[in-house]
Amino acid sequence: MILLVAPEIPANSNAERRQLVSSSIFATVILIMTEVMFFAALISAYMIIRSGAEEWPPWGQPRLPVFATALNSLTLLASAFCLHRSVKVFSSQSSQSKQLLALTIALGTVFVSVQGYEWVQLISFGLTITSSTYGGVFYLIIGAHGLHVIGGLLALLACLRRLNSTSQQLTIDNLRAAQIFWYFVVGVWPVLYTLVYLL
Amino acid sequence: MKAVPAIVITGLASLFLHFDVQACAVCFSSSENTRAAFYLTTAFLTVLPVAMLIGGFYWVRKLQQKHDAVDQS
Amino acid sequence: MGQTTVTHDSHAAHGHDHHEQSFIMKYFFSTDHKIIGLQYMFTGMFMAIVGGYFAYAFRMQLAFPGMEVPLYGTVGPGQYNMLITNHGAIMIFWVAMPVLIAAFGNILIPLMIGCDDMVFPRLNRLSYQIFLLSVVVLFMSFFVQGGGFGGAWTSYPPLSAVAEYNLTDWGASLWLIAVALEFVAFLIGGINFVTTSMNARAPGMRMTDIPIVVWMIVLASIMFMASVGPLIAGSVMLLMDQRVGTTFFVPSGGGDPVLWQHLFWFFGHPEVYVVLLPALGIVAEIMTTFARKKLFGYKTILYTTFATGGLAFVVWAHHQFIAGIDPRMANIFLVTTLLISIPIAEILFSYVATLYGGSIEFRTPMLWALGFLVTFLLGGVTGIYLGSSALDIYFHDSYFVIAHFHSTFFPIAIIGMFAGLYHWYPKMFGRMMDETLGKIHFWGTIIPFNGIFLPLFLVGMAGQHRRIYNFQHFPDLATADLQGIRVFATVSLVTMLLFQFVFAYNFFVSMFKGEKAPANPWKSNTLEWTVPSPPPHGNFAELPTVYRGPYEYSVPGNKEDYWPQNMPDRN
Repeated sequence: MILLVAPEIPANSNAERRQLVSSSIFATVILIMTEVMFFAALISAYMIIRSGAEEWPPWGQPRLPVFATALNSLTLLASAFCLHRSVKVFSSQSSQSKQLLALTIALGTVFVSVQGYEWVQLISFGLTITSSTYGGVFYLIIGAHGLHVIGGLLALLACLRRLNSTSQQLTIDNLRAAQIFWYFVVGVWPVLYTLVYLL
Repeated sequence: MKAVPAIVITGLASLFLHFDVQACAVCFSSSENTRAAFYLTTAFLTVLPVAMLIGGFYWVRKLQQKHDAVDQS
Repeated sequence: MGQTTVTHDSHAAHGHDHHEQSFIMKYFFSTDHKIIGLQYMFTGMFMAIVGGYFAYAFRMQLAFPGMEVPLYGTVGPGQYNMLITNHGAIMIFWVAMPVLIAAFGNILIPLMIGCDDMVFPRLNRLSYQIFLLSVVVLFMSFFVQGGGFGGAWTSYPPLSAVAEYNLTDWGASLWLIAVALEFVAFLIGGINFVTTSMNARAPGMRMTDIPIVVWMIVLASIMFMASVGPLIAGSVMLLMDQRVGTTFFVPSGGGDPVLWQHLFWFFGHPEVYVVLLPALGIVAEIMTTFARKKLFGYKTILYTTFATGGLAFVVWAHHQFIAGIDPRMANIFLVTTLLISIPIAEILFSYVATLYGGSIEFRTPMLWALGFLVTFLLGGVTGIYLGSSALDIYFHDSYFVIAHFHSTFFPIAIIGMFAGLYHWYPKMFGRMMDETLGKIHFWGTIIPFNGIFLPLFLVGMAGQHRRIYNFQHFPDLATADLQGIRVFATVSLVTMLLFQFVFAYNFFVSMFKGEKAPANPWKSNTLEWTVPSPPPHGNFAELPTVYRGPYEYSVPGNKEDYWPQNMPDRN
């Protein structure tokens, strides 16, 4: 057999890599750049489709629950605050940090659950993804954001699990990467809320 | 080089020449609303990545300078 | 995220097991960047064969309409549409991107910046696996009810959105899923490339000591990631139009078809520069090595590339000049489109200045690099005409456009790929390729290539429209002289494809029987030439320290005309 790779030699696995900034943070920032463009495209699509409609929301389609969702947004903002505190006390008070991280996850879960309940209600009122372009863009944008919230929650859960395990230590950089992603998810929500619910 | 301002002014003026020309009579919407929305989203989609790239460039440069400062000390 | 956190810089913990790995584990589930690069390369080359075969089938149909094409069969209208659609999609998404960015990026980046592997090796493997899945899904789309998707590689709605229009219900959806999966694969790969080259450089390697090809691949990855978001959003919307029944892009339901073009070309035009930059980088490495001269204006090229990266995001609407966009907008995009030719021209001038006064060795890689310069220039210059929104009304969707973008994409994807392959073949496989066969392959590719596309400029100017399966139905286009030109182009294509067998022979025979390659066969400076060919797992026995830039050739006062980056003293 030809040697695509020569026989194993001990690699310099213990050599120190000179990082500009922790690789997990760097990779997350690049990922967020893509995500920003993804949501920018959804926002553009929303604006263009809406501009072509004669009436928005179309006649006979239910109105969105503006106030209930505003209250729900507060839980998401509160979760970001908890995460901020959690990262701040990460190295000094680890048990408090763990509790705050769990609280963040709980608040995020509440947000997603209430959103899900809202969807069930809206569908029963006759706003479905195919009922009009209004319903289409609503479920598209809010659904895309919901999936990101779930993704962020999974990342935070992975952090929490590693915080509890003894074999794999969670570093502050791992938590920071998850934090950046969660901040993005929380930060993009007010923009989407204003666009879809308020305007 | 005297011609440069004249060229620039003519070029910019030409942007406003065909204000009401419609390139496509059969397109889905000729409403002013849609045209404005396309304008706005084009500007939005164009500025956003360029701003992020410039921001990223300066961020990495700052990180590298910090890195170099550590190396020298 | 899970992967990110798990593999975070834990390169100490994975992969360097000392027991003998089985063949399958070693070549199919490896996390080694070189193996993943080769996987990408072989998959890309296989897809190039498929794409070339499609081109052969539809060119034969155009030259000899209605004839049964040898090795294919009769090409009907639906078949023809499927062939051109998938030829375009395969050549851009499954050949140019995997070979130029993923394959060369994977193989070159860790070796050139002096580290043992990518920062996220397991993500890297995942990237290839998703890419392979996208290939499988694409092939599935050819064999479902109704056949493969035939709505052109740009897949404009409402044709692509409504199954009653395109007649390929599942073919269209699977095609779209394949494209989306492919993007996800490169997204993961690109994050890895950028992070690795910023965070894992060898000690002493400053930003301006990074070889230009690494910079180009990194910038291409960044541009890809900043532009791909809108297309992923658009693909999701189009897929929902096809499968769920929404009407985002269907005017009858209140959607806007121009919106898709908006989202598609927002990605589509930066994509051109995404594949162009790695090819330019490869050519830069080869030119400076074989001209035995320092690369002219390293920093100029670097900053110009940054400028290209920024400008690439403000030109995309020039694909929509006649799609019904606001003429005021068209004017702005006309200006930016013409502007972007300046930085690209500047880079090419730097390359010419690199050649000037050098002692040029006409080895095979150098021939390919020079061939790139000449043919790409032809493609770039014809782009100036198309960038003008007034001329574009006439040229739009004609064979002039086809000839133009093939004159850019062919040098990028095929000539750039061959240049890189001939140059780094010794490093990849540890053997030298045959020079004579390589040169035969070069001339046998470059001359027929121009034989295909120079005539197509002419038929384009004569008004021949693209995406038509039989020009005999159009009296103005069915004349004997136009048909003669079509036959000439097709004969050139077949000739070019036949010459690729020379390459295949050379490639596979050299892999087993070629002359053993020394570590540094071209006497080059960059770090990948300081390790044995092929490099062992982990690349460097001892991590190198970098003392200078990568292009110190023919420095006065040195005994040798090259000066490796990691050599502390004068040689």
